[in-house]
Amino acid sequence: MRKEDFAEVLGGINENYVKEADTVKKVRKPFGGKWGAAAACLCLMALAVVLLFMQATEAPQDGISPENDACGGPPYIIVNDKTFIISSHLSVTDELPDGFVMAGNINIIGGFKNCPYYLNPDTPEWVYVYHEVRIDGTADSAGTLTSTPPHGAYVRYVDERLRGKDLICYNGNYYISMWSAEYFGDNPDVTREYYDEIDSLYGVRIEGTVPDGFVPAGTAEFTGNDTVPTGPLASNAEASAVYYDPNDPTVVFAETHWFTAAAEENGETRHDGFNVYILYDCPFRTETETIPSLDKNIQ
Amino acid sequence: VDDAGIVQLYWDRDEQAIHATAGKYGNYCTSIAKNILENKEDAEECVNDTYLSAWNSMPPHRPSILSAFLGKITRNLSLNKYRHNTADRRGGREVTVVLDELLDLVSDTDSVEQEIDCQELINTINTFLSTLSAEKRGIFVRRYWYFDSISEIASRFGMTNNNVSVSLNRIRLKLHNYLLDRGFEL
Repeated sequence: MRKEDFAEVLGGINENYVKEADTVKKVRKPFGGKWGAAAACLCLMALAVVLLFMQATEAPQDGISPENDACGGPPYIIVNDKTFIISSHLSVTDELPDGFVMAGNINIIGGFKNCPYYLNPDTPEWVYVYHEVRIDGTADSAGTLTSTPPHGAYVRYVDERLRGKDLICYNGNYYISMWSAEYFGDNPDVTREYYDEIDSLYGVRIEGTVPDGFVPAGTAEFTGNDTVPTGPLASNAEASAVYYDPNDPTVVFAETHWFTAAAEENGETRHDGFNVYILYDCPFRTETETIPSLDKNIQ
Repeated sequence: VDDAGIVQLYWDRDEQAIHATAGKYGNYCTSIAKNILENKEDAEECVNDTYLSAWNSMPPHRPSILSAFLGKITRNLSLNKYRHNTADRRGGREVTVVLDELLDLVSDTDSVEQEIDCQELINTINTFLSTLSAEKRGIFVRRYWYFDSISEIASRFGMTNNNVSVSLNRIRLKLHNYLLDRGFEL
């Protein structure tokens, strides 16, 4: 089908959706809103990382040329039919992490061409790619990245099913934050019914104390950004106190705090509460992958 | 005049219907046409043709959502104009980018093997859209129905340009797989 014909077909979608899309007025989310100051800092850092990489891709050097297929989105690669997107965290290193071995060269969609990439069979959710960056992977306490002259570094790309997902592993079960759980698409994290049920009960975060029946499970061990947490009680988001209901394994709460600075408030207001995590069938729980041959998977 | 009143003016063959439509939905239709054509004169022509088409469509039509009804007419007229202009290399830049994004979903060739049932295809797309959150659906519709730019969508939804692009990439991929699973090899 021609793209123009498909555009014409799309003109026939449900008029309610057309009206719905027009009722969303132009907004600016206030800093310190529902995400809170800490989350906002992380987002800014992540955005800055992406922007810096995008700037880098716009300045090809020494035969490296950019592509524009990502339409301004973060660069990504496809390996073994899986999509890996550049990490939203600081993940630049001068030395290749242990266990990763070169698997060939790859074109980054929205980035450089013909870059060496590295796989580790024990960490199939990550791919490292060596390409030009303009940061050294460090940031100050305010989250400001350290700019550097353009140089080559190993950059982490994360399986799209894991990237941006806040997970907790507790008592053999995996839980995903309501903030990052997706109930739509072909590979939803949870069913819509389940999501809606929990959403109606708690939303994505509660303020104050945990509901009756929830008791402390301990403090989750932080296993690192972009990791699949493993252990008796572990989190890839932060080391925080976790609460569970002995009679209901479907939900756990992770202690958190956030700040708001709305116009009607006198300065910044701290809020204490809990992020809601729901039971999750983690696709990385038992997944094993092998390193592909060098002549394959080159996009 | 509310929408039902405007529609009634059309049914009464009262030319005030055109004035009322232009007053209430002129800017709405113009913004759609401009997104597609990026040429003021062409956009104005399509909006004027929208009023004429609405005049010819009502009766027999009695649209339940007048804005979407008018917008759809403007969109179709503007896309036709775009196709005509493309031959003269006068097409809008943004719509060219938007259409190229649709290459994730279609082969862009004339398929002779498969007879596509367009109504069935629309129904399937509607079902897919119903599975999306309102925000994701809104982003998709703003991009591929209204032909909004990435920055306009980002501004509307309080997102970054990158977030919008990533969301669109993922929705396109999911829609592609969704359609493929249901036998639509486009």
